[in-house]
Amino acid sequence: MHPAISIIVFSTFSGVGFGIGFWLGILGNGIQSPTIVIAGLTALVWASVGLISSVFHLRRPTRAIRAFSQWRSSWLSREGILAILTLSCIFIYIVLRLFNINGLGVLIMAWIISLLSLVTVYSTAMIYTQLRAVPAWNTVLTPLVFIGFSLLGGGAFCFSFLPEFISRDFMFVILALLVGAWAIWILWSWRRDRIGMGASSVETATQLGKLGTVKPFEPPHMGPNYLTREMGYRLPKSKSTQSRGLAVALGLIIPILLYCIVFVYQDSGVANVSRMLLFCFVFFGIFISRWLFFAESRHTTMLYY
Amino acid sequence: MTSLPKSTERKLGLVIDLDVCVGCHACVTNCKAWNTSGYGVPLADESPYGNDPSGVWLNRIHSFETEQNDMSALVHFPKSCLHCDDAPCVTVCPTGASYKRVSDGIVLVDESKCMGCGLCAWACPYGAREMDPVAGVMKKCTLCVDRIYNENLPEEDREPACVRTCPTNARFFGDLSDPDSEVAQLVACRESVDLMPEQETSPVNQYLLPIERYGADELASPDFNLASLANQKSGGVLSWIDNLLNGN
Repeated sequence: MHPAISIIVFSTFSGVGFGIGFWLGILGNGIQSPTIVIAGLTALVWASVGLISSVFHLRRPTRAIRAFSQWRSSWLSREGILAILTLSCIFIYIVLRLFNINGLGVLIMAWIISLLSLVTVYSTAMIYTQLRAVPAWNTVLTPLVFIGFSLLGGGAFCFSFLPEFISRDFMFVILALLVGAWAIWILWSWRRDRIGMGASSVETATQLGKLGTVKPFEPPHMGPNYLTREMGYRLPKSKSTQSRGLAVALGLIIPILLYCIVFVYQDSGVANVSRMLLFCFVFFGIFISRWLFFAESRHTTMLYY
Repeated sequence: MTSLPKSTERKLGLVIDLDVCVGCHACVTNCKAWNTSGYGVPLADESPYGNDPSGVWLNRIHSFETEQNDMSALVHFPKSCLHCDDAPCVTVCPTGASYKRVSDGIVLVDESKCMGCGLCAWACPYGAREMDPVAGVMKKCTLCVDRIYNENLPEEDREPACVRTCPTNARFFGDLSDPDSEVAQLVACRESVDLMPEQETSPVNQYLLPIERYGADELASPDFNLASLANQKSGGVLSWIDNLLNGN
């Protein structure tokens, strides 16, 4: 599949934004209001950058408002509605906290933000998961990849830039998320390599199998077309290996080293720099993995080519 | 609403005879000609001439080679929207632009609502939808909805452009839910197939497979070869003319 930059920015940035939203909801009630306001605004900015980026993928962006109408059947529509709802809740929550309004309602609201953040990221993933025509995406692992990277991205941001969020427990959660989210990604990639076109093949696509082995003889046109440009993107094998290595190195291995430095040299200058770098590397790693999510997945339409 | 109807009153669709299609691309050309001037915005050509031609087409003909026991065959394979009963392209649409009609089962795009996100093209396993690069809306086969009900056209023209133009009668149009229709009878008497049944789209359009002219046993026999078919001995007057013409 063609790795459109607008879509990659959309899903990674909104993933981090709603990830911050999730941790804000879980941990926010025990944290002072200035930090909460900063965390909330950061979540709003990251998620908004993502949502605005998605509009650049539309050929008729002025009609984007219609995308909220088909929630009964369309995951894309549900994602849009949930994203706006979650962002509104985060906004209201930080306003309440800004004016030091604390009560049971505000406490419950924080939990609702966490839940909504998770459901929003889930619905982002379902936009891709629902497509049977892309067998690599059509698995329960896809929402797990998106949710894993969202929680990791949001958590790593809090870890790097919002020291008030860091507790001993949270330190271990970050380590677990680092290892867990990347383990799910590696499992997803492993499955993707094996699934190929899934149950579909050139024989099922043409139903000519009873005439023997089937192979494409000539395409309909001399050159590429919308379908081959959109669904026929192929990553060269060498570039694939490099990119996979780079994603894991930047997103997992370097952050683990940085994490160890933070753990060993607590509160020193080196530890503070390492702490801030951790999110940057994690995010680069997630970004490359999301690029691979598109670039390496194949669409059944290409069986006809 | 982009929810699919539970059932449709009719199932208008195409039956394509792979035994007959010669891959002449007349249906492709007539489809383009009609649809660039008919329903909705024109079918754009980003680059119609030059070294790298590219454009939007609602019907494309692929060709496949099959091989078995050293026997190969070339099968021309027209492909357009199959107007699936469980069309995945419709349910993913966030704007309500895509819909399946209850009255006749045709899957259409309301171009005034489409925002050009392209998700429906991703959802279709067959590659039946193409984005119009000029209008920025999704285009697809309409089953020539602006021909089949068009009372300004002579009655014989009230069928899809591809069917009307096919010089070999490889394409048929009709109501597949009516067992008495020509298309339903064709499907009943020939070996007809759904494309990619594992995708669970329940396509309405049916493909008639090439007729097997030689049985599997015959093909597997060591004595069977194409050359022997070509060297059939004739006798009598025809043989005399044959020899005369060959200068023997």
